[in-house]
Amino acid sequence: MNTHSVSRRRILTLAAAGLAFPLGGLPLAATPRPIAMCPIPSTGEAIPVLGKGTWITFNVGSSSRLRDERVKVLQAFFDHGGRMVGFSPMCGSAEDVMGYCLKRVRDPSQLFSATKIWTSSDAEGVVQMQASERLWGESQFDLQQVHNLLNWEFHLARLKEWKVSGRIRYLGITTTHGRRHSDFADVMQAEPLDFVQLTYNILDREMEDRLLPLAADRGQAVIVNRPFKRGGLFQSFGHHPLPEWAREFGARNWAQFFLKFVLSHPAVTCAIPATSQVGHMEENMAAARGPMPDAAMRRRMIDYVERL
Amino acid sequence: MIPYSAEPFLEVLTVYNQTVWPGQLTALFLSAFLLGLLLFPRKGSNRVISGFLALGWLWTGFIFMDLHLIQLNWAARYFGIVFGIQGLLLIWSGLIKDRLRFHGDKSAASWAGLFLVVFALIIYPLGALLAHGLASVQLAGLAPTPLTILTMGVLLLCRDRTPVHLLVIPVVWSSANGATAWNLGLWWDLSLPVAGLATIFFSIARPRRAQESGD
Repeated sequence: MNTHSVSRRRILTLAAAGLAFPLGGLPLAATPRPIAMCPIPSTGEAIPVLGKGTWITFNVGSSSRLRDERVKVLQAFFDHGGRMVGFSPMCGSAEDVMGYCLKRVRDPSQLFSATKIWTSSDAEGVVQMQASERLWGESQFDLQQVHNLLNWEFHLARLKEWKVSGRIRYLGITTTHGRRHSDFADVMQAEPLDFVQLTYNILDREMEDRLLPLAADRGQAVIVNRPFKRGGLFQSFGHHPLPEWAREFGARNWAQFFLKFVLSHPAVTCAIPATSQVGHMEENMAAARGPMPDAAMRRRMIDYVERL
Repeated sequence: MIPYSAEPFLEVLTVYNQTVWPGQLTALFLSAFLLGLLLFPRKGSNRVISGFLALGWLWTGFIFMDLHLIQLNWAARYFGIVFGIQGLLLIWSGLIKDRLRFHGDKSAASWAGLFLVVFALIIYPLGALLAHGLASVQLAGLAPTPLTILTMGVLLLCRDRTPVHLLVIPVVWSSANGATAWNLGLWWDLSLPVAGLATIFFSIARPRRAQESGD
């Protein structure tokens, strides 16, 4: 097994270690191994391979207590080198909570903001974008995506205008598990997308057949949602022992096992697992460090869980 | 897909209860009054009961759903509209047309209805208190779960045929919210879909003779 899983699109940059840690972050004596970085194909900008989702976990309404707990989670995420945080208008109060957290963390400039437009209405798409800008306190989003291809023709055209004007830096489309894969592939073929976001995990691997290779061919960065199948992988396998050979690629728990499987696919740029707990965040971020499984090990991982 | 977990939902209830306090005292008083009217009817009590229920649905729809739950779930705006419709239906049938008679009979449906009323007013909040603590307790008239159970119980007490047009929304809500309770692990709230199933059963199984005789 390779110590570092390297492909044309994946760079494990030790040199990036210095860039991956915020100033005033972890003390030198406690500095862990560098976080893996991956280039966005359209620009070459390198981002950490692990980001953070906010589905359910950051939707905590107006509770100060719960919001303050999320500040700690976000701080831990940044302290461990994370940058990309993903949102959607379906996440309830998550964007408002995120704005609250960004005002309270050290060095919020680390953030790589990735949000979505989700509406059939032309005008409402602009309203959602404006609402996101207001709630986050951001005048420029890093990534804006059309969610589940809803009115994608109009919204994507608008995103292209915003990209030219500098209101956003990247544009993309998203799908969740099982939705409109054929249409999704058609848009990937036809449009100059920087990012695509899709569902991929050790059990839901349909993306390997078409969409992941297509993204690689088209030079489109891939964000993976639901790497834990919304917690279903833990429910299914968490009570089973982790195989001893998982240590060969640095997985010490099931979260790292599942994440390293996802991150080791050569077409994947970044995965965005969601969590509301600092301990789980730290476990997740550790998956972005150290060795990654190669193709043979990935096959072995699949065989193991499918036999359980 | 439920876009939130149990903890923030209970926090929303806590903040809601803090916001409406001391409205809970009013709700408890009105609940006791409603139970009294059901057991010891007076002239005009049917309209008063209909009015209480209507007020509860309108309040829950436009205050709880549209101002509080909407923080967690964008669909709460539409829930609020549905609750408002139920309130208006109760106003129409119970207050304006005065078609509802809640005196019950000795049928199993009536006894089931009475049980659901007592459950909604007394047993459910006590169970919620034990399960989640006082701060997030839902009370009938102010919050959706006990209000729905109460309404289904009162409608089973209808002396004539159980009014189907007033049952649709509560029964559908009991099913939908039951799924939410299951997903969130709020086991005590599974009493709502159970109440919904019981309501369907007793509405269908109500003896036709009792319905036709109007006794």
